Amino acid sequence: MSEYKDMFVEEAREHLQTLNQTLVDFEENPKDKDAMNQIFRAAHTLKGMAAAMNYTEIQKLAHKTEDTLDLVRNNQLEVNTGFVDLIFKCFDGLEIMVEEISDKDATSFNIAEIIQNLEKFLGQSEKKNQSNKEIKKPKKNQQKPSLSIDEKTKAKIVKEIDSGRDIYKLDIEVDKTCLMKSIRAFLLLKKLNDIGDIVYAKPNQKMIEDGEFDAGFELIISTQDDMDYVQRQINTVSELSKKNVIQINFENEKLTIGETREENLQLEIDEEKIDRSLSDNIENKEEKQSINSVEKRSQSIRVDMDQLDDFMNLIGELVISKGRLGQIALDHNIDELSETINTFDRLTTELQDKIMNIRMIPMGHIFNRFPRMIRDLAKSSNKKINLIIEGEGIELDRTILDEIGDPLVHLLRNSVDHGIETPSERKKGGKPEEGNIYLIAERKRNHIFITVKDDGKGIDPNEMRKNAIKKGLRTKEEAELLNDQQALDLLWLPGLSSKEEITSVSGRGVGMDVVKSTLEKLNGIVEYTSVINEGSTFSLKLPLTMAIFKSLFVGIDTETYAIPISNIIETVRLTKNDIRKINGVNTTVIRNQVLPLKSLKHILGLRNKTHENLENMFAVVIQKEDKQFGLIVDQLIGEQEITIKNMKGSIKRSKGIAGFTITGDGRVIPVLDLNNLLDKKNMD
Amino acid sequence: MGKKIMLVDDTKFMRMMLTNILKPKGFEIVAEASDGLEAIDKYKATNPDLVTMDIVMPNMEGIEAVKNIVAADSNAKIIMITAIGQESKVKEAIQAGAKGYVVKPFKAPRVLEEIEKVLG
Repeated sequence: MSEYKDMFVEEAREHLQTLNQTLVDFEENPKDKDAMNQIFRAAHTLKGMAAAMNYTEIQKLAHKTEDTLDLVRNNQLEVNTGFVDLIFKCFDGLEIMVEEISDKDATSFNIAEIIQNLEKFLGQSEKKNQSNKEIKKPKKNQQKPSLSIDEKTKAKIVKEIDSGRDIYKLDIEVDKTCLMKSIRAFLLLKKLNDIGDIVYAKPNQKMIEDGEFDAGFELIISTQDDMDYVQRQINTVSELSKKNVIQINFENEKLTIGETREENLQLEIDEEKIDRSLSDNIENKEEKQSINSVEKRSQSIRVDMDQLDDFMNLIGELVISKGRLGQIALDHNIDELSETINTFDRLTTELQDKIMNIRMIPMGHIFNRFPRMIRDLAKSSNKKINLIIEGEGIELDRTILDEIGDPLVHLLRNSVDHGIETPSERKKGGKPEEGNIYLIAERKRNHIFITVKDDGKGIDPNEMRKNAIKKGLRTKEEAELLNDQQALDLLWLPGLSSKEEITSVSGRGVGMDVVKSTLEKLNGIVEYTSVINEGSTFSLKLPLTMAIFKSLFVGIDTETYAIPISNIIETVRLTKNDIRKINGVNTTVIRNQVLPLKSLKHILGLRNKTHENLENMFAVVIQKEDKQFGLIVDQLIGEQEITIKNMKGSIKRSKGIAGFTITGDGRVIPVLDLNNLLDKKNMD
Repeated sequence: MGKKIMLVDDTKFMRMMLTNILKPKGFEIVAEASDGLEAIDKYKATNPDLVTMDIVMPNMEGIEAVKNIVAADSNAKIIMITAIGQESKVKEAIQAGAKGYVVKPFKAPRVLEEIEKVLG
């Protein structure tokens, strides 16, 4: 069983997500039959899966949930918030248990309380709905099959025999282990009706079909087929422990019992027998199986993320070796090698694209949990909020997706907590009572943009100034000097957004600074705008993938550094004469725009030589927030695709270094983390 | 040739369990479908000897799929995979032409017995 566990957990999680998501939809629109059906199906499926795995507690809770949902589906139960809350509690319980299974193979969660609440609720509703509820208790039938046939049946049988048909009496017993014996019986009756007529049944056909018999039942059928055929037809029905067929003859004005066929089946099927009956196709079985398994599994498989990461790393190394090969071809001027490298280049690029696609997961993967979250948050803060999600189908690298979940949670919580006003406040301000929060994902070229926007009260720059002073983050004088946008940007300061009174909504000790640093770690950017009384908009810009990216290699003195291309706007060649000092700052003019220049050497703290001694140098133009400036380097070495290797120990935390990459010839090159490197101190 | 089987279930998990029961016995899983609509298409494309059919599925439920498949191929051999409590649905499916049923949670011998019986 354990081999199925991971699959169980993964699929159970998917179903739970569907359940949560759809119930939110259903609550909004209780007339939505499709939503309720979908919820019911997911609960039902979960129950079946749990039963198959023998996770009885999950099965029990899912079953109870399903029962309750079924009442709603059949309009026997009225939907209200109490009901929805209760069902959410069920889903929560199921979720806890699934996670328990995932962690330690067993559940310790006590479902008794939830079940009790469900039953209490059902009890109350039952009283309300007693009139339209009919509980049909199956009557136990104690009738025993016997051989006595009444006169009327006898006459019917004689008539059938006269018309040339054969009459058989069937003595049937159903396996004790058979589940749904009514269906087994129904299946047999259907078979018999296909080959003839049932002229007699004891107990009667209706009762047999309803399973209202003990071990078995008696039938008399008339048919034009011979006994062998009848027997064969009966044999196609499984789980019958007794199936006697007796022909009834009419001799000397009397019904007489003819030859008997009796077959008592063993309960458990003999596996060897199946093997034998299939032996014609079991030759080369092993060979065939292995071929089949490759063919069929290619439709869809689940792969451990770690394995994909290893794969990705290997491809990364391959890409790097390719770079080295190219270098050799150039150095030694080998045309044939250069041609081969072109092909190699195409193949590695394709390989890279493929693995990249495999790692991509639709945004819905994390978006799906938000409707439930917003619903709960809105409810607990007495606000009316409508969450609008777009772009859940847009795909993003799994590694990035895993990281941005928490920042998004924080931004959304913030919107609920500080953005959207209470219905009465909104009404006063001339807004609809219901606030809107938008969560929108878009893909533009190699970046994903995620926007969290609300139409709430917005952020007041004055409030930000006051807050910063109160928390001692800025002096009164400093704060007053800030323009409005700068005041708004105080939001990103550590310690500012963590509220004093920790609300259950946004106060978890995680501030906006964490959102910012997470984004930066991902080579992304977060920006925001806010208009008082109109709302706030947070925009997250993320790279599609972090695994392999293009970098520009630059030289300073004898050292080489890599700068991620995503940070770079352009590069320009400069001579000494291009540089002018304005207000003590080195600048140059590009296309009539003044561009401040900064020495990368200074920023990195390498002060031994200065660029001013060089006749030629280069500026790498980058953007930090809304400002552009040029980083002066000695040399542009070239572009290369690199993978970042994380370093352990103190070197890892070096400021401004995102990690290291290893070039084809084995050199270790630091990769610059510009977001971190160009902090306030260096920007001024 | 091994008998060709098509598995219809909206969970990969159930299809996987069935596959692991059937494959070692020489059956060939020619198609897997995750809802009724897909089942109809794949039945036409692969013409399996037998179909295992879940009842509760999105888009199109098992019974509708049985009706459609039987309408196109009156000899179709379909086994319903059902949970306890769905008697009336199974009955409807049998009425529509399903030839057998297996109740979840099932054990391998039960599935194999039903399939062997229905294949005849």
